[in-house]
Amino acid sequence: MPKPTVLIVGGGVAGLTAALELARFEVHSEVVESSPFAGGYAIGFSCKATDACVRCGACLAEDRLQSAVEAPEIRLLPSSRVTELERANGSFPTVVLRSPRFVDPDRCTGCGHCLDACPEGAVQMAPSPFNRPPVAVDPDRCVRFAGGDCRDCLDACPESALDFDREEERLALEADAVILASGFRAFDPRDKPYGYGVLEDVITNLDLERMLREQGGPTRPSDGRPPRSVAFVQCVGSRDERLGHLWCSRVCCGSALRIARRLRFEAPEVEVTVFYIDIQTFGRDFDAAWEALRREFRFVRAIPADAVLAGDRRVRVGYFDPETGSPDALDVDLLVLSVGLTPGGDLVRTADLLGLGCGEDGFVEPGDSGRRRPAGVTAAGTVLGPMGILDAVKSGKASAWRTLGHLGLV
Amino acid sequence: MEGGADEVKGEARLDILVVGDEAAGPGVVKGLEENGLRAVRADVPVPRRREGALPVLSELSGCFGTYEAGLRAGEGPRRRPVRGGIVVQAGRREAAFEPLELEPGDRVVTLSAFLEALPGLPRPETGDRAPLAVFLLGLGGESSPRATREALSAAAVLLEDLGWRAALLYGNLKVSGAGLEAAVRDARRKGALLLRFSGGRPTFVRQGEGRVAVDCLDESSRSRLTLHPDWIVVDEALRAGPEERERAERVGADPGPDGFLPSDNVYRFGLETNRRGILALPPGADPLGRETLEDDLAAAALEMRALERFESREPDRAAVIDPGLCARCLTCYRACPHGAVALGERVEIVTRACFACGVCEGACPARAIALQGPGRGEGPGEAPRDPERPHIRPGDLVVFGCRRSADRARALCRHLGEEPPGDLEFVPVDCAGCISRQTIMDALLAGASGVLVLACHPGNCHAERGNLEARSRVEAVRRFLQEAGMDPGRAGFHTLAANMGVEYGRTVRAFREALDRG
Repeated sequence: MPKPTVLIVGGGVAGLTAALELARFEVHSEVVESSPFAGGYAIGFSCKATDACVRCGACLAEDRLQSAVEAPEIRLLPSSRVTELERANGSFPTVVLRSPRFVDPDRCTGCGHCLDACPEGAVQMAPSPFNRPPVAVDPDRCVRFAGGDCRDCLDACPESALDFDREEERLALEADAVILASGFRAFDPRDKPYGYGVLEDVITNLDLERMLREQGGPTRPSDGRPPRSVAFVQCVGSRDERLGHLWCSRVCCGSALRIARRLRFEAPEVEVTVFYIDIQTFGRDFDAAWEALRREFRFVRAIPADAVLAGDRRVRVGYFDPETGSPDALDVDLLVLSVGLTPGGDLVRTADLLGLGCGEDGFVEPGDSGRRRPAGVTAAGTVLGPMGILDAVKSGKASAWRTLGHLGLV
Repeated sequence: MEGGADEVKGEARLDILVVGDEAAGPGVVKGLEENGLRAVRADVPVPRRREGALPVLSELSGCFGTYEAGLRAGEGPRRRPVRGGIVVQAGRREAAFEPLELEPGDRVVTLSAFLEALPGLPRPETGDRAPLAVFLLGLGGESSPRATREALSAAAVLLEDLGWRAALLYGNLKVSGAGLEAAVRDARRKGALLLRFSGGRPTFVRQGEGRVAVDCLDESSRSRLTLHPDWIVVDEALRAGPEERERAERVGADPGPDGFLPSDNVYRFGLETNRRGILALPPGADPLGRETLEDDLAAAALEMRALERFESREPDRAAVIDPGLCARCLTCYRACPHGAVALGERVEIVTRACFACGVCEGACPARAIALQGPGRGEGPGEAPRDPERPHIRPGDLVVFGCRRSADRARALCRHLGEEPPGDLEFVPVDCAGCISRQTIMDALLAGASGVLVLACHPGNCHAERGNLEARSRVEAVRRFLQEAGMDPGRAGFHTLAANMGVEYGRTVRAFREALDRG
C-alpha cells in the first residue's frame, strides 16, 4: 500500500505539530501555507524568560518549524492556497495554487543582500532562519509588477537565486485525509480610537513581539529610544459586544504580563500600566504570580476611551478611573494594544469546502458540537477558537490521532 | 485494531497501567479503550477510599521496554508487564473560606456542594420572596474558567427554572473558556447581578439562624449595598493532594512544584513526564481549568502508539557505559533525569528509555559514558577518545551550545545579520548537561582563550535539569581557575532560548570583551 497523504491547510504551530506527529507514523503531509513563511504568528514571537522560563511556549514554534523542514515525510508549500477540493470515495482530490517562487530555495543562502538592495522594501526577510527560502518578494510592493524594470535585487544576489520569470504552479494532490489548521487572524485595531496606524508609538502586542525578537528589546518607533513607560490595553477586539466578539482571546493576559516582566527584567526602571477587564489565569503558579504582579505593575481596571498625542510626543491615554470615579489621563512613551484572536479571513469558505461548520462566533464548531463531520476531515488549533501555543500543540496532536484512526493506522 | 498486547515473561503485556483516582479513572479507561488501548487499573492507597476498590500499585519497576507493575489485590500480589503508564490526577477541590473570613455552614457552601444540592432546591411559593444565591468567584484566591462555567450554569437553572435570584461577586472573572463570555452576557440578561471587586472584597456579617449578610461596594456606581442571600457559594481551587505526590513517586516521575504531573516544562506538552512511557492526564487536575479531556486522551493515545513503534526499533542515539571504565560509583544513576539507568550485575543505560541528553556523560567522574549513534564524535565528551574534536586552535573561543536553544539562536543571529565578529569554535551538543568539568578544562588546556557554555533557561531544559548541571559545573571550573590563580572569567555560562538571536550575539560579544579585558 502506498504511503497515505494528508493535506494540512495551514503551517502554523497546530498544522506543523499534526504533520510531525503523522511523520512518526510514516504518513506523508502536504502542508499548504498561505503566507510566504510557515510557522504561523508564533514564529515571529520572542522568548519572554526572565531568569527562568515563563512557559510562553514561543520556542516551540522554532522547534516545530525546524523539525518539519527537516522531516522527509513533510512537504511545506508556502505562498500556496487550496483552490479546489472534492470528496470522492474516501479521498480528496485537491488543487493547490502556489504563487511564483521568485526566490529559489535551493540557491538562496539568506545573506540578505537583496533586502539591502531593494529600494521599495519589497523583499521580506523570513522570521526564522529555518524558513525556506529565508526571503520572499512581495509582488504588491515590487515595481517590476507595476511595469517597472528595476534589477537591484537581481544584481545584488551573489547566488543568482532570484528569478522573476517563474510562474504560478498548479499542484494536483490526492489526499487521504485533511486537517484544517489555518489559524486565526489578529484583530486589526485601526478602527479603535487608540490611534493605531496614526500615532507611531501605538503598537500591537504582535509588533512588540517582533521588536523583541529582532532587536532584543523595545524601542519607540518615533525616535528609536527605549521607552521608560509602557501601557498595555487588554481585550482590544476581544470581549467586545459591539463588534460581536463575544469571546475572550485567552492568550493576551499571559502575553502582555510576561512581556511586561521581561521589559522590567531588562530595564528595571520601566513603568508599566495595564488596562484590563479581568486578568485571565496563565501558568500553574498563577495565584502567587498574580499577587506579585499587582505589586510590580500598576493595574487599572478600565478600558481606555482613547489615545492621542501629548505635548511632549508621548501618548496620552484617556480613561475613566474606577478608583476615583472620574476621568483621568496617563502619558506613556509606548502604548501596546493586546489585539484579540479572530476567525481567519478565509475560514468560512475553507471550512465550507471541507464540509465543516462554523459557529455563531465564526470559529469552526468543535467535534462534539453534534454536527456530523465528514469522514477524514478534522480541525486543529485556533480555527476552533482562541488558544495559546501549548494548547495548539495539543490540538495538533489530537487531530493527528483522529486522522491516523481514519486512515486505519492505529 | 489490535489491542497491542504482547507476550512478555509469560503474562500478556498490556498497553497501559492507569494509575489514578477511582472517580477519574473509569472515564479515562473508557476513553483509552475507545482509542484502541488496553489498560489495567491500579492506584496508590488513598485514605477515605473504601478498601479493595482498586489494586494497589506497590511499585513500577524497570524502564520503558521493561516496565512491570507490582500490584496488590484481593488474590495476593502479582506482577504485570506494561508498556507504559498514564497517571490520572483528580486533585482536590479546596474552597478558600478562610481568606474570606467566612465560616462554612449549611447555607455557606462550596461550589461543588451547591451543584449537588441544586436538583433538590425548591421553587418559591407564589408571592414569596425569591431566594437569592450569591456566588463568590476568585475572591479568596484566583478562580478558574471551570468555576465560572459551573457557577453560570447553576445560576441559569436558578433564574430560569426555579425562579430564584442569583448574584456573582467576582475578582478576576475567568472567561478564557469556550462560550464563557457569551454565557456571562446571557446570565446578565436573565437578571443575574454581577459585581466586580478590584482591590476590596465584600464583608460578611453573621446574622441569626445561620444567615450571613454580604456588604459590598459596587465599583461601577460607587454605592454600598447589602445582600441577604439564602445561600453563599464559594468557588474552589484544585490542589494536589498527598496521593498525587504518591502516584508520581510510585511511577518515578517528577511533578511540578504544585504537586501535579508532569513538571511544568513546555517540552512535556502537559502530557509527557521525564520518564519515557509515563504520561500524565490533567483532566480533573488542570489548575488552569482548561476543558480539553478529549484532546488529552487523543494525545495520550497517540503518544502510546508512537512509543510502541519506537520500541520496535533500535533508537538512533543513546548513552552507553564502557564497562571497562565504569567504577560503579552510581553517579549516572543519580544524575539521569529520565530514570534510564538500570542497576544489575553491570550498571547499564536502558537504550530505549534513554533520551540521549548526555547528562550522565557530563557527570561521570570516570568518563566512562558517551553518547552513541549518528553524529557520534560530535559530542565534546568524546574528546578524550576522539582528539580531533573540538578543533581548538590556541586562542580560540569555544562555545558549547545546546542544539535546541543556543544553536538555533545562533542561526537566528546570523539570519538577522547580528553575528558577533571574531572566530569561534561553536560545538552544538544534545544538552549542555553533557559537558563535564573535564571537557571544559580540556578545552582550556588545549589553548582555548575561553569556554562559554550556553544552555536553555531554567525550567525549559528537555533533560529537566541538564542546564542546571551545566551551570554548576561551569561554576566549579571557575572556582578551580580562581584557586589556581587563573582568570575565572575564562569559563562562562549563560541561558538562551531558540528565538533569542540578538541575545546570542550580545552574550558572545560580552564574553569575548570580558576575556579581552582579562
